[in-house]
Amino acid sequence: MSKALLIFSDNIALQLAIDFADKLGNTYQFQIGNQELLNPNFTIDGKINSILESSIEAIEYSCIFIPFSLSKNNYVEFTGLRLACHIRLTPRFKNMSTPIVFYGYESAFEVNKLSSLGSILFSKGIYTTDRISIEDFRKQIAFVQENQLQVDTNSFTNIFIERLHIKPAGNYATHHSITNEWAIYRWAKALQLETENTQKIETSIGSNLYYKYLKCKYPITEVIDANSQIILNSGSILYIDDELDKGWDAIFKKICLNKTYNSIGSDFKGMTSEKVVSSTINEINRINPDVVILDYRLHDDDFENTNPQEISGYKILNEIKKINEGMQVIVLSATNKIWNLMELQKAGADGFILKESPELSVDSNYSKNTIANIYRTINDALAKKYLKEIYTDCEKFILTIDKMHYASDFLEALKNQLQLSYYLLSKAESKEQFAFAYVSLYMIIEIINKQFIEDIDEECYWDEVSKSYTFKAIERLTEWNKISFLYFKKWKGNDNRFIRNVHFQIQKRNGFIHNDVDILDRQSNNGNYLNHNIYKPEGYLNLFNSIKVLLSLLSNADTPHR
Amino acid sequence: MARNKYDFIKEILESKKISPAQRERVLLLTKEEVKKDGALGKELEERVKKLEEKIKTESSSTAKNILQHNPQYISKYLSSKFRENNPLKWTTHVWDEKKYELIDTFITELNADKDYSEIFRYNRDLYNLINYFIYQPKIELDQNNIPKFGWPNLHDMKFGWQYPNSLIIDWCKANFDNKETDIKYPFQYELPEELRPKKPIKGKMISTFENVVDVFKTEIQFRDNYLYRELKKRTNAINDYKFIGIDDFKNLDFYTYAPGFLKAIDTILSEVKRNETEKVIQFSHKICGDELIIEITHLSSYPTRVLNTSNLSQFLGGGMNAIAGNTFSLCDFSVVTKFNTSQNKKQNGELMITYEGSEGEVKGNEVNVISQLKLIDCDNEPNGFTYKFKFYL
Amino acid sequence: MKILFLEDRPSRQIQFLPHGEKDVEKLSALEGVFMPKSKDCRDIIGQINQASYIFDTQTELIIVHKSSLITEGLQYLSEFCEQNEVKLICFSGGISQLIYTNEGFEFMNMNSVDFYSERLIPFIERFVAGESETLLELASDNFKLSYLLTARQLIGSIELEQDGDAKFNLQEKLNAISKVLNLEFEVKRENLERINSEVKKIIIQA
Repeated sequence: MSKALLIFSDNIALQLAIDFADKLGNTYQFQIGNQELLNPNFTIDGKINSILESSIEAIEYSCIFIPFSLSKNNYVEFTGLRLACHIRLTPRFKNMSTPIVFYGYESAFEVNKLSSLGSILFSKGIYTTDRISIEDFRKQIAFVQENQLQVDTNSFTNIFIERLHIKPAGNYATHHSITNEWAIYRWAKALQLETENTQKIETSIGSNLYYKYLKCKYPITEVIDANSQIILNSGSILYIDDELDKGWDAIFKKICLNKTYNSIGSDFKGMTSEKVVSSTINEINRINPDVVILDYRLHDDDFENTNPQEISGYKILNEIKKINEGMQVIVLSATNKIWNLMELQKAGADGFILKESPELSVDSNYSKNTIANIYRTINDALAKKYLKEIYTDCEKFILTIDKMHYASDFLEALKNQLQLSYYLLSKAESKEQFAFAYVSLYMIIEIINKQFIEDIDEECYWDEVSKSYTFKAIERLTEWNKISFLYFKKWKGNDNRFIRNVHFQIQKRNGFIHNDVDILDRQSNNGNYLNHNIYKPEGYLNLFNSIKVLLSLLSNADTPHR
Repeated sequence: MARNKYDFIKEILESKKISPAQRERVLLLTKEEVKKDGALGKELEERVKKLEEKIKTESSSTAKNILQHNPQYISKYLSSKFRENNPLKWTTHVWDEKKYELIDTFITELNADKDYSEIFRYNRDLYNLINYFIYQPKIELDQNNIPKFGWPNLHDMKFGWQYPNSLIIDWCKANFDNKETDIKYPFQYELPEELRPKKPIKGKMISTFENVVDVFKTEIQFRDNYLYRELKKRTNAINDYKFIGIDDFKNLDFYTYAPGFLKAIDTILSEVKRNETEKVIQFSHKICGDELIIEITHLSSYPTRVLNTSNLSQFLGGGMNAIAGNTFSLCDFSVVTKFNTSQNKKQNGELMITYEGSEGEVKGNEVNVISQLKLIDCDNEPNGFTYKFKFYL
Repeated sequence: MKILFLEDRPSRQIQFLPHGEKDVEKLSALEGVFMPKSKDCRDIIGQINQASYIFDTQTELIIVHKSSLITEGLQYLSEFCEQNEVKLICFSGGISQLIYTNEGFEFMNMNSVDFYSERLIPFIERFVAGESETLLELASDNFKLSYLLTARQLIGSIELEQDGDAKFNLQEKLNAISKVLNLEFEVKRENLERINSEVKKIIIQA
């Protein structure tokens, strides 16, 4: 027959332990030394876990005797119950379904009233006794053996989890909240990522009773094959988090495989909140990423602040958008407070990744689905990386326009239209919205035309004979005519291809505005729709390139004394 | 005559009760004396020379067993080494992460401090205790590979920082050195099953190194209520006697080799039981400057044995010698009472048994006082038989 | 000042005390309580971590956020508390179960939420007035129950124990509990029934 195990502590008769070791099995003395107690990182769960991992021989015992209380000075801590919960939830100790006998003079009813872990007393395989002597323990072992449950460990654990109620330690959004580590654990598991970091997670919170309980209650059933998931769009990604080393870096590195990936934040710990913000902005200016994945709380002070606008992540988001509104920022956060998310959205956040908290893990596919969503979010953000360049160019041109000497209302109209069209582009999701952004950009041509063309009586046309554009008399002018007049006659342009492009671009606009399907659905010889790119960023980008040329010519033609 | 003279000289020279200086004097006088005996004297001189050589050889080996009484050194050693900032302090105090990065650094510093070897001249048990707890005593293993020997007072304690071998050092290399997370300190080391004492030590089961350290601390210091509780434990077991003044021993802290003093107490308590008429024992202590004086008085009890003022050492019976031997170099020991002197007089006096300059001889597990005792008059009328211990703080 | 209260995150107090800011103001205004704010608080904690802070000689209780301490700081605190018979409370969000020890000095570790309960201010008021008996009062109204249950455990252990020293230690502990409980009867084996009855009475009302 296998050995029994007796756990005892200071207030228990040592003779009991001596006799037990002599006659019935193994013993273990539970004690918390001064050295341990004076370690600021000491936790009772860490202590118990360490005992089960390395101090007690991990063999299958016939029966484990535990006193209700293992404390020297405060009985109602009922540490014995906590130890038993750990035994039930620690596979490595090999006694998840071993009968446990609590010894002490309290009834199960009394203990349940006094301890939040009392529910364990009403789960299977748990006995209590107030008869404390070697002979009584011997009889108890025999009794327990006779009534041994024949249930496999998995089923036993499921039954146990149903009965047990373990609450998380009262805490709030701090680094003590296990949401952070829980999310890392879940996503690392879902990504099949076994690293030194996930080992570290196990070390840092793996001992936490609530965490063990969650792992048993919400096992991961579906994993994601990270190798089959790819972020299609190219671009560079910068990940910012003060807890990179906990495992976040490894997770995002895996997700962003084959992309240009950087991460910063492991040196944030010693910095002030202001320094965190300023050093991050310096790095952003240096690296110039297309997409930033930004953790919301990057500093201890952030857990202090109730005002979302004081949080370091918010401040960095603000600064990024000041530098370049087109740089895509995805915010990573544990917060489920809607007002925080709304503030971030108002500040320009382009996407969100919510850390998985335990209550969300009820759905066994949640992790897998969330990660799939992360891939999508990053992919979508990269798809919009063109906005960064457009914004940069817009800003450049606005500066250029400010220096021009044309009529101020004209210049103002140009700037406004530029900004408006960028705004519409940045917000565009549907094809119509992209088309409206396109149309808005086209308006710049009309503004220019209106400024410089009053009445002309010549139109520009393509002369097949001379193989060039030329002019002839006409009564009514189109916008293309006007702009081509300016291009050739006023600004001395000579790129035929360019002006032809402009012609098609204006036609596209006309087709959309007048809902002219002949124009809109025009196809090339190989069946491609030539004008459908008005519904995509590509259309805008092409037109924008043309507008850039026109604005440059406008600038070149500018003379100071006007 | 010569034969008798020779025998007489031999008896004196071989007496353990005379000091080396006295032995020299005897030899000198002998040589002078035998010169007067002519031819017979020559033979005598030869025999005495041989005796002298024999004794010289013996005394070089017996010198090792001679102890000097030096409680001041012991007290200073214990209080400074284990309290002030030096490596020995960290053998008994919890560590923080800044103290040492590597266990080897600590052990090297420990081994560089050889001051403890001086204690060998003063108190063997304390020397052995420190040797076993901190340093590297010789290891002898039994057939089960368990060390044969342990601490002097607690033979089942067979563990120390470097004993046996480097068990705790090796463990520290894996669990302490250069660790940032999940660091474990030496005190958290769990003793292997075979080295754990099977029975409780001082009422505790020993399973971690911190348990070992806690016991060591009680061997070198009386702290908080430890002395009070030990006195209480002993006196509670004695019925019919009344013990007063023990409560005053609460929170009395001082460094000393505690088992030595407690053994002396045990002897005193068995001595007092011999007098079944007087049954009140008074405990008291006072601190005068840097001296702590503890007195245990059997009230109204006076010695019946006669004090030979020309040979005070005769007063040392088995019990008295045991008390002196157990507290040798821990404190000055004297007896204050009303003596019956050989002149049939009563004398109020303090018989100094161990004091500055005293010597003792180690014989097996015991220490015998071999130096002269001193009797001084006392002004106050003794109220009984007082065992007086003067500790140096 | 009798109580040194080091909270480096004041918003925590506002968030968890029953009446928020009102309670914080009440705490700050209590005579005998020194609760430095912001930078002053952080400075003091910094000095404790450097083992250089000089405590007020009248200090009888120190309350500190455990996560703000490093090992050296916590050791410095505990040495001071032991040498000067000062009580120590450490609170933190990372503590999942209350741990109380009384070896040399009273030392209690508790979760922040449990610490900032409706019992805190009354406890502090009683402490300042010299009416508090033990830190366990802060953990529960029924702290005497803990002593009674320990006493019961000790009585059973004393009967079984054969080692003289161990038995003596257990008995000493029982005697100390008896003094603290200050019941009409002595806490010993012969009065086990009365002890059981006291226990039942308290649990029923719990």
